[in-house]
Order: sequence, then C-alpha cells, then structure tokens
Amino acid sequence: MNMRGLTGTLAACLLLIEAEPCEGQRKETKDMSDTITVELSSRQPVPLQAPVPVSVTLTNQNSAPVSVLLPYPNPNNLQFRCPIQGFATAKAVEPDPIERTAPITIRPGQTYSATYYLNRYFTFLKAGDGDIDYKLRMFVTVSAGNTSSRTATFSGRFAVQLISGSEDELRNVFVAYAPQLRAHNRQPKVEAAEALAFVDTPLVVPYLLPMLQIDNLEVIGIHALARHPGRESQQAIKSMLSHADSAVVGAALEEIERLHMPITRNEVHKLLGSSNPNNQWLALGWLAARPSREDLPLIAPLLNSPNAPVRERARAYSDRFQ
Amino acid sequence: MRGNPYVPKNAPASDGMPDSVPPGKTYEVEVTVTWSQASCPGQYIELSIINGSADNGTATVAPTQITATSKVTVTGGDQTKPGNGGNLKIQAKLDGATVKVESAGFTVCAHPLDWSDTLAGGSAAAADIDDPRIVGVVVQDGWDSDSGTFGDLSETEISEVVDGGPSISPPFPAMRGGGSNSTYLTGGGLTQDTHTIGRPAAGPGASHQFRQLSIFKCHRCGAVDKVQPNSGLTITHYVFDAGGGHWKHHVKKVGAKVTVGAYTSEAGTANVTSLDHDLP
Repeated sequence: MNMRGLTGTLAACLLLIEAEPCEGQRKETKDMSDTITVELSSRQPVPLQAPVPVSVTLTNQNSAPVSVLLPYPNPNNLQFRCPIQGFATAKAVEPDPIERTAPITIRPGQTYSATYYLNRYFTFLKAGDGDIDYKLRMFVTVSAGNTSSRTATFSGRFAVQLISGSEDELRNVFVAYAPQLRAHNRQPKVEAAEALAFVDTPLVVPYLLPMLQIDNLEVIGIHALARHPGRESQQAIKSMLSHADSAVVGAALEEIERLHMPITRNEVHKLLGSSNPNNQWLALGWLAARPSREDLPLIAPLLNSPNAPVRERARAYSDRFQ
Repeated sequence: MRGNPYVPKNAPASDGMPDSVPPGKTYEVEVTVTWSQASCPGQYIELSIINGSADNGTATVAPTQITATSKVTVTGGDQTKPGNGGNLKIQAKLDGATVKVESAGFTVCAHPLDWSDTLAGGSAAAADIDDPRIVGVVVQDGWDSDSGTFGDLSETEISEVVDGGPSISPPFPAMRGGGSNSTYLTGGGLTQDTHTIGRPAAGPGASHQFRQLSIFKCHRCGAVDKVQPNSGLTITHYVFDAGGGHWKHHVKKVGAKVTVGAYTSEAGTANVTSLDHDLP
C-alpha cells in the first residue's frame, strides 16, 4: 500500500528537474536545483475525512549552509491543485496577512521536514487514489562568501490514497493528535492543530475543544470550531470572551458576528472591565456597531481611561447619544 | 515595579505590568517604617528576599538593615521559571527575628524592546521579491532584551499587530483593509518579515500604507499583550511613474510612532527601501 505514496515522492523529485515550468518559474527553479531540493509525499493511506498529511522535505545540496523561509502554516506560498475530477473540491484558502517566520538553517547535506495537511485546501469526496499538484514558493539564502538570496519556486505532483473508514476509526485518528497538541515545541504543536482544524466532519469537534485551553492554539481552535457551528462549538467560542489575550477575544467576536450567534449584551459589557485595554477597545467597537443607550453608564469609566485609543473610542461612542 | 519599558524606579502603575525586575537590573522600592513607640537603641528592621529558588528565581535587596523609612534597591538574579511568577517577596523582620510584613510577590524576567528591521541578506538585491505574481521585500527583524542579554528572552513571545486601510485599486489589487495579529512566536529567536503585495498595475500612481507594532507576553511574570517599546513601523508600497510612462513599484519600511487598536508604540528603527520593480 505504501508503494504508491513512495512512487509519488520519486515522481515529485524528477518533476523538479524535468518539468517545464512557466516563464516566471524557469530561472529560479534551475538556479536552485543545485542548492536545494524539495520532496512532497503522502506516504500512508488515510481514512476519508481524516487529516491528510503531506510531508515536505527540503535537502540542502549546497556545500554551504542554506536558510529558507518556510512559514507554518503557509497558505500564501504553498498551493495545491487536484487535477482529478470528482476526487476533491478546492476550498477558498485565506491568505495569511502577516508573513513572519524564523529562518530555518539547513546545513550541507542535511534535510528539514514539516508536515502540512491537505484539508485546508480540499474537501475530499471519495475514497481512492488521486494525484495532487503542488507549487511551493520559498525565499532561499545561501551563506557562502557573498550571501545570495532568491525566491525559488518548486512544483510537482504526488499521490494520496484515501480509504473508507468508520466513525470509530476517525475518532482514533483524531485522538492520536491530542498529545501532540500539548507538545512543548511549537512545530509539532501547530502541526497537530493544523491537522484537526480543517477536517470536514463534525466528529472532530470534541478533539478541537482542548485547543481553546492551550497557549497559542486558542485562535486556531476558535476558527476551527466555527467551521462546525453546532451548539457545543458556539458555547465554547462564547466562553473565550473572558480570555486575557485580545487576539483570542477578537477571534471569538469575529466568529460570533459572522455566524450570528445569539449573545447577550452583558457578555460584551464584561469586556469593558478587562485589564487588557485592547479588549476594552474591541468591546467598544462591537457595542458601537449596535448602539444602545443602556451602554452609557458602563462606558463612562472609560472616558477617563489612561489608554488614549480606548478613551477616544469611548468618547466617540458616547457622543453619538448627545 | 518595572514599567514598560523597564525603569529603575517610579514605574507608572498605568503600564499595568506585573511586579517584576529584569535579571541583573535594579528597582528602587520605598520601605516605610513606622515605630509604634520610640525605638530602643540598636533596634532595626532586617530586609531579605524570601522564597528564592531555582523555580521562583532569585533576587537580593540592599541595604539589608534599616531603622527608618528608606529607599532600598532590589536586584534581579536568576530568572523565574514559567508558572512560578510572583513568589519572590521582600520580607521585613524586627531585629532580624520577628516577621512584621511581606511585600506583594514579584518575578525576575526579561522583556523585549527596541524593534529594528534591516534588509535580509544585507542588500536590497538579496532581500528582493520580484515574482510574476507578487512584489516586495524580506526584512530581518531585530530586538533587544531589557536585561541586556538576548538569551534571557527565551520565555517571552512576540506577536506583530498590523493594520492598513483599503487599497486603491488600480493600481493595487483590491484589499479591504483591517487589522491582523501574527501568531505569537518566541522572543528568543529572531525572525524575518516578508512584505509583499499582488503585482500592481502599471499606474496610476498611488501608495498603500500599513502600520505595524509588536506586542509580547512573558511566561515568567504572566504579562499578556504588552506593547513592545519602540516597535512602531510603517510599511508603504508605492506605484510611481519613473519617467516616460515607465511605471514602477517599491516598498519602504521605516520607524514611526503608530497606533493599532488600543496599542501605541514609539518608533522602531528601520529605513528600508526595496529595489524598484518594473510594472506590470
């Protein structure tokens, strides 16, 4: 069974060398073929509806260290396309508005691997074998004598194999990611979060809920739960309004609004007393979008906030009732 | 205690920082002594830092004996481990024997400050992105520790907060604007930012600006979403006529005082300009 995945890996390597890329890619791919190779592979059959992992392995072929920018996740620079009709439908992939990442240094002859997941990109429709085309754009720096940097583009094809699986088998797959979600190191932790976050079946909901209690996975968890907006998910998302981190509160408010979740005004009023000024600022924005005189006594203390943006936002809201 | 940025005394409470001091740095604390009756000759108050340990961190206080209200200096030693914040205390004993009072708890921890950006790879050519679909630049981020030792930042995390208005389209691809937070990444390792936009059209002339600052959290003291001092920047993409109807793009990143949401930061250090990119 694994042979097909392995063949896909080899095919991807060959394509890097032999493919005839479009005009914009030709120069970069040729230049970088001596520097770094990229292999993408999906080595094991996975149940339909489970996370579909793709191993991305970079090998430094140069005699000098190479550093690459390979964000995780990487929606801006790692793209997939399924050429087979009826196997998978493409999802709208949200770009990442802030591309910030630590450069990864790969020593000569060494490799670096990360596991991405196709579920962000596709809804798979049926069990079976399928090919996936990829394109990876990556900023590569070679530190030999004069440092040289370039954006390299790699493209190719690999195979995935999906098999039928029962609900219990799916749950077993999901629960296997639970320890990894709590990994101390960021990379395995965010890979586990990525694995679960874009799964299409609501069976995954109980396995997403722990992300709301794990540092730096809360926002991913909120958006993942919002893709399965049942009662349990909605309750969990609303509970995040009490979080200290304003990015978490902001994500919860965003999904509450997008999904038209029922919420009492009082739940947002509580944010006005947050010790985080940005939570107060978010709450003022939410209330001002649904103005009500009943808010005035509650925003009065913020008219004297030591935080100028909060003070000004409170003043602007208050003035609307004058 | 501390302030944001760190100050050695008189930190404003409005900074909202948990009581803490950077390792190797000092903070001046006033200890009020009120004798219930005239003190006998030789009576004194002994000061010490209690609960110091490998987990709680260590600190010292000087002087260790006072007889009247005094300003004393607390010096941070070993950093507190995550989950053990706020366990160090100044303890005052009458004549070194009877515990009279203990201070609120504090933490020893370093915080990031002073953001900078330079061209990645050291030159505009090395940092350039000129792809058929996108144009932009890669910059090397930098910052410092308020302890003076970068390695002390291992238990901090930094998130960039970026906001920009809607784009003018054309020449820029349509963007609705709005704010975003990057994931919190460790403050103990430097990062690079990639500033790209979809390849603009060849005119008309326009600019599109984003404001950026950084916030941090500290797993030692528990600070969350605190503005990194001096991390304000603007990123501006320009489409301009280079002459003869030859349209070009470049992007500039410079230090500037900025406000994003409720966060305000003084200017960081950057003066970066990408290469000019021929359009379309």
